[in-house]
Amino acid sequence: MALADDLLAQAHTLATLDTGIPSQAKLRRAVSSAYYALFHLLIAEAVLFLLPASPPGLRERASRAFSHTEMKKVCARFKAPRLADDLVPLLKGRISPELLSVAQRFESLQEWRHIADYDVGFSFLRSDALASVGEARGAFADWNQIRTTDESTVFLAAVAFGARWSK
Amino acid sequence: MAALAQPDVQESAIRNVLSTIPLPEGASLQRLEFRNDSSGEPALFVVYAVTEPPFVDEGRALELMHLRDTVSSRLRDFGLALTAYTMYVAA
Repeated sequence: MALADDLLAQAHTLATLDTGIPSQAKLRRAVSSAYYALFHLLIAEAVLFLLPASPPGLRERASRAFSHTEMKKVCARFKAPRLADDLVPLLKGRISPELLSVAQRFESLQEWRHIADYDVGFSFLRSDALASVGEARGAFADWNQIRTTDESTVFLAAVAFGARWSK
Repeated sequence: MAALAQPDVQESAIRNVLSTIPLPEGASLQRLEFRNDSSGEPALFVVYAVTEPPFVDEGRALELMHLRDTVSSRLRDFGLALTAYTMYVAA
């Protein structure tokens, strides 16, 4: 989990580095790093729980197959007001507040990451960047509460299979 | 949710939900934007104008993070199928 934790720490460092008026470049990188922290946390967990450790390098290779867009769509399905029919029996009809939080925050963080990286017309506030760091921290904490549960395994499988999950 | 097929009715209902959310000091609802998000999916952007302290204020950041969480949760509980994003701009 080292990369995800490092990115989360980096996000906070960047958001708080300037004591006066913060540079937009640092705030944008902070928002982006907060998203990538959660992105890499979920990928690391998915390959850890779903794939064997052998042969060496398998998990690392498989980590490259995850798609930002598809992961976001999976999160949208898990946090929808009405759970999709294919998820109801696997999740016993509901998801925990912790998994809902992870899914909701992933969606939110990915959108801010996109704005931070591409929308040069938007001006970030430091509090806004720190709120993104807080969202990522909250998602890490919530994930740690549920990471060994059945619902998390279902979630990770859906994240790994992406669009093919719903076939 | 049947009535929410009408955009103007939907916006009015959403504003009613948002009006029940306590706001941090110096924050006010500025506007709602119905547009696609970066994935091309229809979404709602809830824009708040906020005052920004001239120094690092972790407490302020926590308030804004909680507001994001609350807006998402309340609108989901209300039955909004769109993803809601909370955006902050300088007051």
